[in-house]
Amino acid sequence: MSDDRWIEHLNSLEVSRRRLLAGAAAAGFLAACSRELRPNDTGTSGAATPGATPELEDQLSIYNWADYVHPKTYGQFEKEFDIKITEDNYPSNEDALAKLQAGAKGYDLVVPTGYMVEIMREQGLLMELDHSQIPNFSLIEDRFLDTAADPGNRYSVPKDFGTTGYGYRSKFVKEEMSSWEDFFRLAPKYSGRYTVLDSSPEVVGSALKMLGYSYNSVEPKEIEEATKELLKLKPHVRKITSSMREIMITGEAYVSLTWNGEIGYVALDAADARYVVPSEGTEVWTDNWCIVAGAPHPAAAHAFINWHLQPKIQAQDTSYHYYGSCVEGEEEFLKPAIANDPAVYPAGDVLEKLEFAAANPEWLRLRNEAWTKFKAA
Amino acid sequence: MASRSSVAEPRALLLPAWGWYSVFFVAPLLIMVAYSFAINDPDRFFTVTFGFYTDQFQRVWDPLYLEIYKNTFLMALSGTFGCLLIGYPFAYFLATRAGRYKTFLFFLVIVPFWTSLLIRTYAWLLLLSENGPLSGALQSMGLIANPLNILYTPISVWIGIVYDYLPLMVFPLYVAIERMDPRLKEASRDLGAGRGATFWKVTVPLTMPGIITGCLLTFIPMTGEYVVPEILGGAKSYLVGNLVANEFRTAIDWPFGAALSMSLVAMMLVVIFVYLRFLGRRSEESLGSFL
Repeated sequence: MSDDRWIEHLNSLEVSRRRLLAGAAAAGFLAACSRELRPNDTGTSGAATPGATPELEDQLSIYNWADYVHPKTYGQFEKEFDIKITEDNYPSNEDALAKLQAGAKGYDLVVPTGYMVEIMREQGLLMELDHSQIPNFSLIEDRFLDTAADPGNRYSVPKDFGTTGYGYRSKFVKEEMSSWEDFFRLAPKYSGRYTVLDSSPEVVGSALKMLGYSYNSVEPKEIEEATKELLKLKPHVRKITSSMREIMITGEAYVSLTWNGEIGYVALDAADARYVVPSEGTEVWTDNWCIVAGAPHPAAAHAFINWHLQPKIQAQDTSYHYYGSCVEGEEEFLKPAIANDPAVYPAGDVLEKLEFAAANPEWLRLRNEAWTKFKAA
Repeated sequence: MASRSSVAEPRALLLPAWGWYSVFFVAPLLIMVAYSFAINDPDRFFTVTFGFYTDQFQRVWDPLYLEIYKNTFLMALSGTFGCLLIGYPFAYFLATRAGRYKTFLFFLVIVPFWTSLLIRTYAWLLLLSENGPLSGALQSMGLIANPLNILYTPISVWIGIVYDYLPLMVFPLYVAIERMDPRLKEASRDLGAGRGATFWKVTVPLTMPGIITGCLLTFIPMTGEYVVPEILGGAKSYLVGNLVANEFRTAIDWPFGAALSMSLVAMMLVVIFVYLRFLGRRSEESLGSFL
């Protein structure tokens, strides 16, 4: 193993690029231990006058998922703009929300998933963007824009996208898997070798999609049916975890309900790992750059968002975290193996069946009740 | 130094503790009480109406949640029993037979506290895994045919909590046994009681305050356990602590999370009350020694 690969392997043991530290418990602990010691900047908030080029600050503070940009990305921006970047990490949307709600000061950028953009903007935690400072916004594909979570993208700019599906090790699983139906049907055969994400919407949503319902169903009867399927699945689940990389690589688990980038990572060490975008359809999500309300360095934050939308930078990050870029024209900078990987860029027919999560309190309550039944079983 | 009142001075010593307690213990508790009587807005996240609504407590009575409380109590009870079973003989040895090794053995009990609980729990993950050393050892001894498959089950959670809380059982037991006058045991033997009768009729009753203190010190935190089921239970064993965490962190349902934890607090108060009531004066003494 070369040095790079070795470091990546170590990362895979504890840090997931997108959502995770070493498990939910560890996450809570670490988050509790790492209260930030940032100066309480009283920088001016509010976007600059449109058209004017505001003076860039010399610092930028990013609150991001762990390991979610290429290791070179920040350095390139720092060099080009002479702005010093500092980054803190969070393990889940909820942790980021809790910290911002508690009044954490000093952050400029945060990277919530679509549904969390909605919650954060409703809570007044985000600053309205000045689109005149983000000309590269026009490079983003239309299908990722103007979602229910943020109509008109007044607060958010898609950073990348991914799907919620499942991965399996074809070395251990003899069947060709392609649907949610396959996922649930084969569980008894590979009992004790399954993992699912430690997150209610994705897991409940998978059963809903298998049954032919909407990922966002709020029909109690449909949720109940989905819960029944999940209770049947439960005895075969080895572990409920969002950090399944290690046990998938070691072969302790064969099948994992997770996000596509996670399996892309597993495949670095286990070439027989396959990711499935289930044929019934599934969730598609975007993570988004947002500027925190009261950000001390709003001009630098806008500059970073705009700079990061360049296809070349997007391709660099995608080749690192295996989540697809939302901008057009990044393919030419990508290795064909990634650009043509249906796990990263799902093919047209599946694409149409993907749904964005549409969260509201009732939606979440139904999912968490089902989740409690699933966990307590 | 001359003019200070001799009464006021000792009271002033309590000020830091009172201040700390009211700001960092009483205040958060009151906030949680307020939340537990609030209701959620069904359309907007994080929008609660405070008042005196009992909706959340009615939800707690759902069999789904009662089952989780039951599982939690059973886990804590069996964990406490495990600690007592391992801790009593050890404390007895430490207090009466350890001789010059006493300091060293005490040292061994304390050493784990030098490392974070989280790291030690992760170490158990390796020990208990199906390819881990325990599985290998048991297989090579011929005790089990297949790889050990207890990780991510309630058994591994039980092992984890017994390990974590064992020192809390050993310390009060040690103090109680050490304090016991050895001549009482000699008298019991002189009067014709056998070893067994002496142990059950003299030693155990005399060390009861230590047993009760040790059991309370282990049982109460075990009912709020969160880390061990999360890691060693593979997040599949759902105890009240994990449920509460989920309501706050992911369900964004603070009122219900608060009601669940207040219910747990209420149940704990009942447990302590029962101890005081049925175990009489002796348990009051033992409680007094740490409350």
